[in-house]
Amino acid sequence: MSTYLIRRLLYALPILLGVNLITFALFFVVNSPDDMARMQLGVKRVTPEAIEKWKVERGYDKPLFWNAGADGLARVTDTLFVSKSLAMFRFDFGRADDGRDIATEIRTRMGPSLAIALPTFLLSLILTIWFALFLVFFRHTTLDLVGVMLCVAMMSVSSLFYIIGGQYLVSKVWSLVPISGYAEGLDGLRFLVLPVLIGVLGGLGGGARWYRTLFLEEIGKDYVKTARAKGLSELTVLWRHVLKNGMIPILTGVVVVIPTLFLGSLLTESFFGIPGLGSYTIDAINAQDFAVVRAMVFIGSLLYIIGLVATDLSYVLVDPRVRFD
Amino acid sequence: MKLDHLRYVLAENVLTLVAGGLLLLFVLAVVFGPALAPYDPLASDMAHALAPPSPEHWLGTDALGRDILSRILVAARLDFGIALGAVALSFVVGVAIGASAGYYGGWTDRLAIRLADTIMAFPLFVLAMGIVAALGNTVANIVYATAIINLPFYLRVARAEANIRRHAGFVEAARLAGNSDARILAMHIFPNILPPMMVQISLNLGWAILNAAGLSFIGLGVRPPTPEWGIMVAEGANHVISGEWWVALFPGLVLMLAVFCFNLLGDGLRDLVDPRTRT
Repeated sequence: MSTYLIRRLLYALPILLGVNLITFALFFVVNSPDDMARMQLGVKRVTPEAIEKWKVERGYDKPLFWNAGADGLARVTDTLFVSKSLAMFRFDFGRADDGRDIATEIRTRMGPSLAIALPTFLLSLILTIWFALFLVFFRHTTLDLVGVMLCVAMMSVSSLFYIIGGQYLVSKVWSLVPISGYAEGLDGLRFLVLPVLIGVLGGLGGGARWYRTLFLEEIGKDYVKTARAKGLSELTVLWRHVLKNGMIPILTGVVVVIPTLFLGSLLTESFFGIPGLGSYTIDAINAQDFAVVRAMVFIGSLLYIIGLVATDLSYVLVDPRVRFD
Repeated sequence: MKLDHLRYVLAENVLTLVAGGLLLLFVLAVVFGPALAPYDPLASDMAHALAPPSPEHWLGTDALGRDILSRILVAARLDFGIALGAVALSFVVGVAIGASAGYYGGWTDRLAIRLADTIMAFPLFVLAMGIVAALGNTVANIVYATAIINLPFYLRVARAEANIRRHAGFVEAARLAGNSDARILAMHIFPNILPPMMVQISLNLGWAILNAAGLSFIGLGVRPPTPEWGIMVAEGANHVISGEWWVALFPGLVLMLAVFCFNLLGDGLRDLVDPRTRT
């Protein structure tokens, strides 16, 4: 198992390097530090001296890949690529434009993001599986057809529309919970209800339709016939046999997103005023704070790759037929 | 023969017919949108700002008094243009790279797979944001961003489909007849991998529209005052809480119908192409 894990991690390294290189190309080569300085300083105040000062303040005044002015190893290390891009592998993200340390900021903002993302994830997993099994139980009936149509309709609605609709109905018309905001502890629970509900609702349609197809594929197999022939009720067959086998493909889609839960949701967080990583990213984009955007892209892909490895490991846990070889 | 089969499947599948009708309406809006619009979509009329739906303004007006119906009609061209452009671009590039990778195998194949993995490793929306944030939000950049995000899906499907056919009888026959690799790929393999790709294309079009709207929501899409469905919903969001629901509702509904239409078409196409997975 450990050799397998090491091999997987070694395979992940070039992908992470590729991500790092593409991000670097986007933010330093295509859109050079000079462009960034011009954008930040505004058209009126741009002088060559001002641009130079801006770059020195942020450590952007180095060559991209090769520092001919330095000696020895510093020719390679004293460059933008090493100090700004490769440094992210050490979780050294530098400072945001407002002077705050990005790594510290990310640590404090993880909590609020998780407070929304984790309940959303668990609740939506349970509800989606339940709804999909419900549709499978009533398969080939009008109820099933209506349910599938509902799923397609629900997955066609944009997430912002869910947010606006939820805020209007639940917060304004029924005034059940506050429209937006965030607080620590139990008192903050009332702020979490609506974003979590909207997150669950937004993912239900697409998820349930997919799971339904997976379960329907299982239901034609021989072991299901055997279970029925034993005299088990349809509900028992679904819950104990179909669900267990259907979980294997479901895991592929589910485990990979677990690490990315830390990132929170971009739209939900910014529209509900939650101080998490999602709203941090959006604020950074609007403020053209590229150091933060780069850091978030890197962390996002790192978490995704961790999710991929975790997915492979999870197969072994649930499916005795799979072995590490 | 083909047409008969199409008619047979459509008769079985009323929903696809409905989706086809919807698509026709959208195509009409794309072609004749600016001519059909009763008002200038950019002309503000502060005297009638935030007017509810009425006989003069069927769908009401927004905060600047612009007619919402006109803006929705004119925006169809831009929204469909972005979606079609992005999907066409990722289809062409993805099939070219993927089919060659699957056909040749070896290091070409490994390189292509690694490329797809790297793109997939970016959180999808974050990659789009990164591209648009770094390059600036013009329509062309939104199209590129959406196309790059979609690339791995086309690349993988085309690679898998080409790979299982590289030693198929008809490919060997074509090779023995003296056809070049490029000709075999274009004339013999491509037509065979097209049907499974069509399903992906239809589902992707809906997704591309949602993605473009999503970029607009967070200020990375098309810039106001250009009429675009995503921006209209985002602008309307501020007014929903104060009771002017029509500003966000109608563009949101149209956005949903467009995506719904492509999703249904995708399902219908899948039934047509692959009867095995018929639901």
